[in-house]
Amino acid sequence: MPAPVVKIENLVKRYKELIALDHFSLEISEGEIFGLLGPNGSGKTTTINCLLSLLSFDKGSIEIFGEKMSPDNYKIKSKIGIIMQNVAVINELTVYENIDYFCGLYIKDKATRKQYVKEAIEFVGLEEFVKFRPKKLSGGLLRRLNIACGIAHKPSLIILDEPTVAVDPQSRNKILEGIVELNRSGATIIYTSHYMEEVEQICTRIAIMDKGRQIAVGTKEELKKQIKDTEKITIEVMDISDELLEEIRGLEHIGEATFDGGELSVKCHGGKHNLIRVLTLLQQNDIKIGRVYSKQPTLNDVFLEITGKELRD
Amino acid sequence: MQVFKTFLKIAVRKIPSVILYFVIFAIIAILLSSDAEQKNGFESTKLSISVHDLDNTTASHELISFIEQNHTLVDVGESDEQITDALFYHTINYSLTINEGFEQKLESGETDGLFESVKDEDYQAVFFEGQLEQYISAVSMYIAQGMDAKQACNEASLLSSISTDVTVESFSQDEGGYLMYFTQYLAYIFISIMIVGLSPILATFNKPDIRRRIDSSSLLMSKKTLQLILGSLVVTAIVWLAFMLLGIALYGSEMFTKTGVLTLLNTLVYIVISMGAAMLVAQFDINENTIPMVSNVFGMGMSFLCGVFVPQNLLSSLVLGIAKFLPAYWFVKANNMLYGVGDTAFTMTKYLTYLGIELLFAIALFSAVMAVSRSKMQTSE
Repeated sequence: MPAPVVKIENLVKRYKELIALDHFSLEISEGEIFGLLGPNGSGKTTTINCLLSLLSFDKGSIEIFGEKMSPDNYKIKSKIGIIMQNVAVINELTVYENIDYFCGLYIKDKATRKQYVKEAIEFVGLEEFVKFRPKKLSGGLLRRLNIACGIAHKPSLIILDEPTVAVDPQSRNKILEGIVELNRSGATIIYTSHYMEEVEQICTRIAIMDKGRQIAVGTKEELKKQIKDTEKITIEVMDISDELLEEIRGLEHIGEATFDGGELSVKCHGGKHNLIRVLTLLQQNDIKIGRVYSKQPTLNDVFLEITGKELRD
Repeated sequence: MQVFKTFLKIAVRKIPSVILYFVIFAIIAILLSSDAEQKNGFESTKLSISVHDLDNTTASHELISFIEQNHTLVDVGESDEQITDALFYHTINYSLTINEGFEQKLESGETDGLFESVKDEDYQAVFFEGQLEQYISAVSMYIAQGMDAKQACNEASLLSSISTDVTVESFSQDEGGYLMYFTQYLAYIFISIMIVGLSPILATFNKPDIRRRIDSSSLLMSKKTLQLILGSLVVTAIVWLAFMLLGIALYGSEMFTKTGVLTLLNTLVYIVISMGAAMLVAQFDINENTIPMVSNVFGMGMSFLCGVFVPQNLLSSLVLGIAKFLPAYWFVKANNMLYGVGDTAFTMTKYLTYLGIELLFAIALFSAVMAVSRSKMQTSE
């Protein structure tokens, strides 16, 4: 079995009294888009900083590409690309010069670097803006430049630390598409975010963090299976009797059924065709039906179930 | 050399703002040093005086010609209103009326009631009255010795016109007086221009996110540091050379005398201190727009405290006591000593001591840069 690209074991990081990482462990395999999901202050950025050896830690170990990570392990560093939450570019340089500068921190050969910079510009679609200074770029274009600076040297492991904060929906989609594209071309991705929709959309595996601990890890389907209510059905009805409500509750896989304000809410625990069975029962009792909604659980529901609070609290 | 090349690229992009400072500072330096040229002579003050002779005698005429020799006579009319207006508008500083019976009183040895005067209440009036009193005393003395009024007045005029050559002894050397002022103001210019020019470039590399990106790259930390130091040295050398070339253009051969070379060495050490100060400023996350303000606080503050603009011997002992803890004080002291200004005669030992103290300040600044940098790394953790 190949060694994982990233292996974190029992990582502990303290800031005086505050425990930022509490025996945090993680394994990421080659080719994954691994999502680190958690609210602000849950320890995502601390984990990334420890991974990059920008931060020392109190306990535990970090291995990347099978080697122990340390501040002077430049061999490993050369295979990593980092894209930060804040746009980290030099305002005095043009788009081209910025990408060339950051690529040059890894690639010494001029001809290779020129080719890489060209490819990075094409990848993020900044061909028309190569001579622009960052201050003249829109927020979305700046984010793309930020990404180009982090990936131009063709790293095998790309770490994206909340790259879509304060980005408009159109640019956000472009960025997410780009990340998937990078993954297809062979890079392993670590993606941190507190936007659960993004993580659900692109990540193959997800770790949910809270207070420096890993509270769940798996694919999104595996995570959703961890919660009791797997489906929530809402049906608009004029009126419903208590007897019928009791009858609905008696159906297989139905946990809870309530009627309030013209809406029947039904929570299901696993099982299939729950909606059809509820609708059939209502028809049999001549109940007139308005609109019908069936909602699958989200990662927020998973987080809520495990921690008792909302992901965006 | 990726960091070094980018450092220079940023430096070139920032040149326009630095050039602006260079030009302004160069003009100030030229003006201030040329102003120093005018201060090298002495000339007695000439007042504008209106005289009204009611006596109209030989003695009164002699007095008027004595006044004319030393001051400027102005005719403003004789009425009280005209005289008051002339004084109000500073057309004259003093109005003197020679009373009737002036000559007669002098001959009888009387000195009271010789004149009436209307004047400004300032030191110039006192100065003129002192002259007048001296003249009348001399005339009275000659008359007492048996001379008539005309003779006595002639002798008194001669007495007051006696002049003698005075040699002013100082440590000052004949050459390089203007160069001293030029280099003295460099204490202000260097610190200001280095903070304005160098700090923003270094601050670019010290921005937390840029720093994070560079530190997580495969570029060796030691290489990054060396390249930043090399870039700083190049910028520092260019600034120093630019001002030295300006000095050569203005003062030519004076720069290549023994004093000139020692002056250059003093400025070289001082620009290294300025480089340290600029590096220290860059360590703090100061907004780029506030850097000129910081440079003014450093530059002006230190210059006023250390005797760049005001001679050190005019500063209070308290100010000088504080200034001793600032590098500009030792720079100015060495510079003054080289040109014999101030209270210290030149000796090579003292010169080297002052230079050594300046170097200690440079070492202290570079140590502070390293300490702040380390503490920032720990804080960011």
